Amino acid sequence: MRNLTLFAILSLFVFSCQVKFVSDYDASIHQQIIQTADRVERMYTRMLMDEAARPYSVQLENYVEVETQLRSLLRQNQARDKGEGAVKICQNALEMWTKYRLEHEEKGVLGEMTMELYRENLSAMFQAMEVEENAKKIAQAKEEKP
Amino acid sequence: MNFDLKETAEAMQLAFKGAVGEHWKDASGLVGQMLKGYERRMLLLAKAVAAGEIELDEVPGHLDDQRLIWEAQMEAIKTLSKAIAQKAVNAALDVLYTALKNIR
Repeated sequence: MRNLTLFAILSLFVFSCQVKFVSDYDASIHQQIIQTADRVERMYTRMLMDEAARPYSVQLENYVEVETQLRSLLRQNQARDKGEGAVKICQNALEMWTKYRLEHEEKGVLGEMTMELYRENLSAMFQAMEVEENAKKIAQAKEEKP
Repeated sequence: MNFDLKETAEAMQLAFKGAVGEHWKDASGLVGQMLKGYERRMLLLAKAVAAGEIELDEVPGHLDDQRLIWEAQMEAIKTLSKAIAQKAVNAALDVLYTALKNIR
């Protein structure tokens, strides 16, 4: 009887001691990151390949859509428990995206080297976002028993 | 009572190491990728300056973009490290739980 009580107390202790340092992995957020990154990649690649696609007015719809997605990702991450890392990445991505949009709006057309640089910068930002979300899968994965 | 503290502690340590081991290599590889990306971006910035697309007085603003990227990448690595730690600690706690279940 004493052993049973001891077992119950210890079990409760161990159960309550399962640690949680990161938020749970969210497949829909991961998918949204990939889709937004692809849209940005497509937009810059098209502008690099097709001069007619370069004016700001032609890309306005892409700017609206990507900014909406980035704001949506920021909002979703702000609502998650232990999601501060993802929030910071989204804030930085949004800051960069807005800066590039305003520059494009002001100049009308961006130079080729500048477009290549911005495509690479944004790609690095989305990579960070993807790595951050993907890492949460590791936390949830159980070791395979031999 | 069937509980060997030394054996359990060793098993917990093994579980912890096992959970960290494989992912630690991924994390180091990621840092290498990030450094290569930084090199590529700095080269593109230099080319844009050389081509006259970016003026010298605009360079600090572009270096600030690199700060934003590094901050984001550091956050990603931080989360990755925390996720690895979470998996490792919980694997060790699972071993402890299993050992406690065998107390009779």
